[in-house]
Amino acid sequence: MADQRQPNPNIDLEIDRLVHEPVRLKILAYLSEVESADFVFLVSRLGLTMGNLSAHISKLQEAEYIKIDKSFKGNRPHTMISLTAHGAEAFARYREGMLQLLQ
Amino acid sequence: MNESINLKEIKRKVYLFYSEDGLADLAVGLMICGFGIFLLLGIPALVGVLGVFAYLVWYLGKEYLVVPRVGKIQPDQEMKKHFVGFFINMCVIGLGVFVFYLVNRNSGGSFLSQHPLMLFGLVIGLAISSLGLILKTNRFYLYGLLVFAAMGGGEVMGTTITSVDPFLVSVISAGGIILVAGLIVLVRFLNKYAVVSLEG
Repeated sequence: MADQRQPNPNIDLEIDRLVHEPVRLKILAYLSEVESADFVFLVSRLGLTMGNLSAHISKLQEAEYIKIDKSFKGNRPHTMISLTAHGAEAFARYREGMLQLLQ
Repeated sequence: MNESINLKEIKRKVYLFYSEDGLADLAVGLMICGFGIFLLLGIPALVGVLGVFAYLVWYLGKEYLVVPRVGKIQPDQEMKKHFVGFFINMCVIGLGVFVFYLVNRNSGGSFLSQHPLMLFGLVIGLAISSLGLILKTNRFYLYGLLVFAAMGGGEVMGTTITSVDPFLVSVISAGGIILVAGLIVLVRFLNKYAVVSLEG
């Protein structure tokens, strides 16, 4: 029986550049493992500055890959970020594409 | 510049969120140590509030020490299932052991039915080890073993030494060791992560 996971030299992979960027890929990878996470969690895990993270978050939000919920805890703003179904699908598609390409 | 992305490592880091600060260790240590101290002081009624006290320590530690440093996450469905499964399994095992003890206590048959504290230590040790399994943190297996050894060993020794209560001494010691380990992990965590500023 033929192994379906054999390398396929003829594969024509369409890369989602928004997901392909390493920092955004990590953001999506972290968000895929939780229901939601706040800015501080992503900053501490990714080792980014707030400004840098905000720039990547904005791009992912524009593409509707992530959803941002803002609220207040006491007097302080609190922002939770979660993956949308669209974002989860894009991340899964990217993973599958890479597996097909590299195996 | 090279970027390393490892999905397994990312999953591990997400789970580490629950144990890398040492607060879970402190909560477990407080419950075990407090259990021994309250029994030693002859106020067993206070054992019931230990869980609430340990939860308060864990919750306040998370809010004021951990969240400003490494933020906050809401667990996904898989992680929630693990936590719920843990509590259900522990309730079932605890109930099963209790029934086993009640059924066998008068028959005088099995070794475990003659040593209820060892049986109790086995359940608590299993609970702590299971926590290690779902948090993917190996040191909790050692804690589980330590508590089982302290309760089981303390009870066996209690039948031969009468001047002190070796059961309580060994339980307090085991709880104390877990507390100290938790404090060390907490101090290392506080040194490793600075408070993250929300400014640009």
